[in-house]
Amino acid sequence: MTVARTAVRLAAALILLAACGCSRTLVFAEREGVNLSIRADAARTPPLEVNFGFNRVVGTTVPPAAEEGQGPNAQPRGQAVNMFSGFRVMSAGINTAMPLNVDMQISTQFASGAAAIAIADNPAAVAALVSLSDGPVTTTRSDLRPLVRAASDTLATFTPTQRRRAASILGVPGLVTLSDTRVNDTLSDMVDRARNDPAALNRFIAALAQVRGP
Amino acid sequence: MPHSRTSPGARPLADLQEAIQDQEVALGYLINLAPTDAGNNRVTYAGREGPNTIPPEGKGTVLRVISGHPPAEPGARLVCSGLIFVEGALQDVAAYRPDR
Repeated sequence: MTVARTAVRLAAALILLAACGCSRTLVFAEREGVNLSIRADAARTPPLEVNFGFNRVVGTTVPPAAEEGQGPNAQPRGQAVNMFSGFRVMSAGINTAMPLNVDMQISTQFASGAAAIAIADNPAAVAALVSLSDGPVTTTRSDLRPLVRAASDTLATFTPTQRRRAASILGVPGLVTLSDTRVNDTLSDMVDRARNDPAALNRFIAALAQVRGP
Repeated sequence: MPHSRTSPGARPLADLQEAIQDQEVALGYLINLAPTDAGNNRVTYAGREGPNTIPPEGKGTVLRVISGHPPAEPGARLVCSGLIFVEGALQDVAAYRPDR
């Protein structure tokens, strides 16, 4: 089982900042415990039972907007720092031949302070943050189906370097910080969103053609 | 990596199947279906890494209403089964992936 712990590393970095003597620092700490129990018995119904246990603790230390008074008599004043957070646990399908070889992904993200204020009046941005980009299940416009399949087939033949070039042409933000896997996922999301948007799909196909060359 | 999406629980099964088959072309094979507390269905796709990770034309995942243990489907393998929302009510459904 593989557990992604990006958030823990991020929290550790924030804690390090606090330990370095920074004042008015927001700390977001997270701890996760995962237990997976699988019982396989062909003579029973159902033949396979899976129990998944998950324990998560999240704590934040948030500085007040301002303080009244000095020293030990100081009192917090005003709202705490604004914060939104999202969280998701996902696992791939279980191979009954290798029931203990399960890849699991735990995703968490949060926005605080100015970033949280900036998106507070944008429900779509807040929804994307707290749901970790959970979009709808939709059909594809019938006239775009061949193009979507062609784009997806082309993308599937690309090397990680070619995918990164396509993402660059398409203006994917923060590209240098993204892993190859994340670049691939971002391109998949773009194909998904373009399935009913001819202009976006044409831009995507043009970027793939530019990378592939003549 | 897997991609998760949400489908309205009021959808008929045929409409959900059509939407999943369309979305598999972009996001890879379906790997799980599950109802949500809000009365919708959470649909998870495996992600698309290479040429064999999206279904060929006409070979998308098939959904069947079942009763009890999911039966074997000739020319396909069971992906998952369980209760999901179909037209607003929970129903036992199995998802099958046709052989390539």
